[in-house]
Amino acid sequence: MMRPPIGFLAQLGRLVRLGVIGILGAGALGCSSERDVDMSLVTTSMDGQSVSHDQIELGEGQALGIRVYAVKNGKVKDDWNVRATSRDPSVAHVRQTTKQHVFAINGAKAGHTQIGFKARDRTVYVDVTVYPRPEWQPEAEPYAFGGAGGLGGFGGAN
Amino acid sequence: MDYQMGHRHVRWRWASLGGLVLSVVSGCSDPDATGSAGELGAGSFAYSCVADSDAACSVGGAVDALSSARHFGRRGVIPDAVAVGALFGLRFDDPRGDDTDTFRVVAASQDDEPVAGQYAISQPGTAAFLALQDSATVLDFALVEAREALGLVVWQAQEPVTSIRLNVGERIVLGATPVDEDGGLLGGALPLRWETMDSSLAVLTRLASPDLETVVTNEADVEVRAQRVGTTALRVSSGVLGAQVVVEVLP
Repeated sequence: MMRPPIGFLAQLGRLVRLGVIGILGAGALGCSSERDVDMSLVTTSMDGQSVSHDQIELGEGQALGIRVYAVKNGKVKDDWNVRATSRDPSVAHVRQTTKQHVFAINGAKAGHTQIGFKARDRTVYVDVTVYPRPEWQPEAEPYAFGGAGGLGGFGGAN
Repeated sequence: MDYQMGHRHVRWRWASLGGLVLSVVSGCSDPDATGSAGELGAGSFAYSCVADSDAACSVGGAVDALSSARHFGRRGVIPDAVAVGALFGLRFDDPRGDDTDTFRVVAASQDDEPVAGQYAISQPGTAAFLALQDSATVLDFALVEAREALGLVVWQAQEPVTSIRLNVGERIVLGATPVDEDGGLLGGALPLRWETMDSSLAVLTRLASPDLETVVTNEADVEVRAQRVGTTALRVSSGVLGAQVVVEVLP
């Protein structure tokens, strides 16, 4: 069996080390966000509502309040001012409230959009899904006005 | 024994202290306060009736007071539920503002605001209404539940009635309320139509109105006046909903 030259093995080892460093570096820079947001629901959770770090779900006609902090390197920056903008306010509208870091989001109509939370020079976009109202058919039966107490008929329903 | 007495004494002191705390807490609550607290705790939303057909604002005294208190609460509080499609109003009171401050309240979905400043929830469920300080700032929001009205109930002297007896010349007040599948009273103004089937026997008037009418619309309460001996019926309806009261007029 022919052994590879020592120089070749050394070069291969160096390449592997560089590759590992490269992958780790890329992971640190690209795969984990350098800056993120911390979101929590501060109002009564209604049917179908959920808030996670990268997605908000609510129903059409609903609203929710969330507290949002900027996060950098895993640390909550509660002294950083956060602003929010909806890409499509006709689907989900976001407005600041009089409470610091608390935003109100309302589901105006069913659809998908994104809300951008901007802290300092970076904006983090969070997906927002507004679910349509469930299918509904009225159950009320037409009231049949009729005779009572021997009065005879009053005619059909109104 | 001494120990037991001492223990009981301590327990009484705690009970007294608890009672005191309770009385202070209840004493601190403003008896004139109206409305329901907003979800963000920044203020309160006062419910208002936009038409006289809203039973939540009934003044005739015909509807059972306990049921009203249970389902509608104090005047100004958001009812347990409103009827789907029924109109109502909301006003936001900011405790920090003065009495002259008025804030626009908007429905989370425009479907629930058929007329600017008047609301009607288009299908069963809970809808949100936001008080705006300006176009970019929400002060607070309120939740209102809507249920489908499955019937109308007619009330007289705080009892549901399907028949009444009157003497000629006698007047009584009737009230109508939409109810859900459990019989719970629903707020909101639905279009209501009262009709007497024989106005020579019994006529209707709006409360505080001298006008005798065969048909009265959009009133939760009506007055019935017995005119002549005989038997007839009153009908109240709203869309497909209806109720009928047999009226027997005695000499």
